[in-house]
Amino acid sequence: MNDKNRQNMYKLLRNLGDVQGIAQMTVLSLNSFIESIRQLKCTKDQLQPLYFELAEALKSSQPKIIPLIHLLERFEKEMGEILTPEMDLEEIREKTIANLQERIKQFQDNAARVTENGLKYINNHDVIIVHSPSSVVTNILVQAKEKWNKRFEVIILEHNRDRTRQIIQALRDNDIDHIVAPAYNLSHHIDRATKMFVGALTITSDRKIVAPTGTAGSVSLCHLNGIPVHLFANTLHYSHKASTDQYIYQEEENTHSANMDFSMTTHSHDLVSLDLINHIVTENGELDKNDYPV
Amino acid sequence: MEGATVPIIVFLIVYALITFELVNKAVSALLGVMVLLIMHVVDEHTAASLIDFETIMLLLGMMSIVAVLRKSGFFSILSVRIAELTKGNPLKILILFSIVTAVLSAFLDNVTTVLIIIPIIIELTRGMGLDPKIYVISQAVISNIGGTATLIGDPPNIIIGSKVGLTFNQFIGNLIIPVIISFFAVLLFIWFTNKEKFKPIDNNLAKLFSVQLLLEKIKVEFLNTRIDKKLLVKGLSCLAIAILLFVTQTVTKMSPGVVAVFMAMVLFTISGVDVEHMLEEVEWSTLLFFAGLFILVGVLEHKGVIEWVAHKVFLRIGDNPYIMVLTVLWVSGIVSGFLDNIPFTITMIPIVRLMLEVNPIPNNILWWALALGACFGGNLTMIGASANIVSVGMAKQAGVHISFLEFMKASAAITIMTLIIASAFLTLYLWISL
Repeated sequence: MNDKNRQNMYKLLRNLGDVQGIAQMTVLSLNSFIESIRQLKCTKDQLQPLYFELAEALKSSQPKIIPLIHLLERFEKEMGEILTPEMDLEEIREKTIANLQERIKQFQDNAARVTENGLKYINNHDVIIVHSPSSVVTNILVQAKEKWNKRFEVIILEHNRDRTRQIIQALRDNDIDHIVAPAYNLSHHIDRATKMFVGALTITSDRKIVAPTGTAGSVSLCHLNGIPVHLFANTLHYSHKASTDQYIYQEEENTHSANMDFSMTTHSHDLVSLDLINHIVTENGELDKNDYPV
Repeated sequence: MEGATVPIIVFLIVYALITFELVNKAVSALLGVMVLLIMHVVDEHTAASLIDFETIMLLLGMMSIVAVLRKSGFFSILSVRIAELTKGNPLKILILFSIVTAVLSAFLDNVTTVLIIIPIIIELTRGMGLDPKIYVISQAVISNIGGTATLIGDPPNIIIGSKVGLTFNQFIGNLIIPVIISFFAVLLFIWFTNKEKFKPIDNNLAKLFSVQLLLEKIKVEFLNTRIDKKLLVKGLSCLAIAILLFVTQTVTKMSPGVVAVFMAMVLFTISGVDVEHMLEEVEWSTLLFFAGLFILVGVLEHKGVIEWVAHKVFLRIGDNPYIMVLTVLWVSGIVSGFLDNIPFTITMIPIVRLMLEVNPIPNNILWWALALGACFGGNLTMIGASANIVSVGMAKQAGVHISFLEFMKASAAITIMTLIIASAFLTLYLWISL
């Protein structure tokens, strides 16, 4: 896989993550993996090197997609135990697809348990700030209204137009009160807010979270104003490595304003200290901030 | 040709402004008309009577129906489904998108077709690490070929059909054979000359994975607008009825322009869309451009300039029907490659009429020669047809630069090939008819 194709793939993953959220992107990636295994035409001997080429590329993505990496590691471990030299290509293909489907189920079950655990953090009359919410956060909001008939209001901070559209649609469909505001206008709504919900791509070993751009500013403002911040993420998001090893994508872009040219540096994701987060909710319930479950 | 100097000068200046895109096309044409009005070359009532409202109505009606269909999300669904069907196979991308482009171009205008197809094909091919250039050029070329098949597919056909009174069925019945042969010949040519670029990727897991991801991304992006199923059904029904009425024109005696505007108004009424918003989607500048050109060419015709050109150029070739047909075909083809084929067709219609007075060629073959020449010829260069300009412009916006020569390198051979196919078809048709 040449560098151009690799960068193309990383860009695609970032775009999908931005628009669909990390959880959806992880599932989509595994589904894409299954579909490509189905379509692959090769000999039995070629299969392993082809897999390693893709797996290596995925594990080095910018930024690293920790849930996907954990699932791939689990997949590799289990496949190592299942596969035997006697198996033919079709049998390997079948086992591979079945295992990947298991991984999707594992991830979705975890996400469903986080959602279930998250429901109790919504009370009547809450005013909840959400910033680039993951599908888990969206599901918590929807189910709190649907299952428990909670009455609350949501302040959606606009980050990515497509992503914002999706949450607006979900809230509208479920008749949940909401307003939409630019993230930089949060100070005008902060007095009414009672809590903030966020998701994350990764929780790093040096106690930081890798989250969509703009999260750091919004979380900081909430923290300063004493608004409790809740992080909803399953334990597959925990990384063994520090924030410096997350390969957060950095881009330098030449831009100009009036007659001045300058170079602008942008990062694909924010880093937020866990010290600013008040509650971490996983599939196992609320975790102590100092716990590190991997 | 008394008093013809001013309209000739104005016409040539307007032609130059249009060809070199120095001023907006509609503005150029209407500016020319205003000069003629101010200088009392023609009065406003005569000028208005020179406009072929049948053509304007057909374009207005079809643009309105397309606007509603676009709002319904139909084109997004269509392009995403086609992208899914290709499964990232480069050859399938070429073939499936070309089929869709050709069919859409036959029933919608070519610019609308490329506006729908080009963004997704660039996204798809670039995401796969392929060079989008040949795909962009192929779709522009195919849209011009597909549009040749029907009365409503390409502006030259709309003009010929309206001015000459040829029906939808006559167009499709007479032009479908050369169009289908040309379509397959072009696909074969593109594949043969770019074999390396159409190699399958199904032996590369990483590329297959990227393609699957890409298809997911395209789905998310292009299906971003919510699909309005009710509007989609109403829009497609009205389009289908409009096409049915075009086909049964000889029975209903309703002209295509009346059908198009009638169905557009029915659609506006039953769909409950914001009409003001939908009307903003109509390309008013194109309609004004047509109106202006009709007046400019009409004035030249009144002053006897067209007759003079016909006698001096086209009628000198003699009355051999084969030479007449092939001359109209090739002159139209080559001139349309360098000049806009809309004003060229409007100019040629009175000339072809005069040629037919000298030798009445049967089965409207001279008109088919003009239609095939003007439509196929548009492929010769980047500026030959609006679809080419729009496609290259969209590619540029997406960071894919296609130069004039790059386009011509691929398209010139295709144009010559399609004109040869058209020549063979018309010669055979004439031989059978005589």
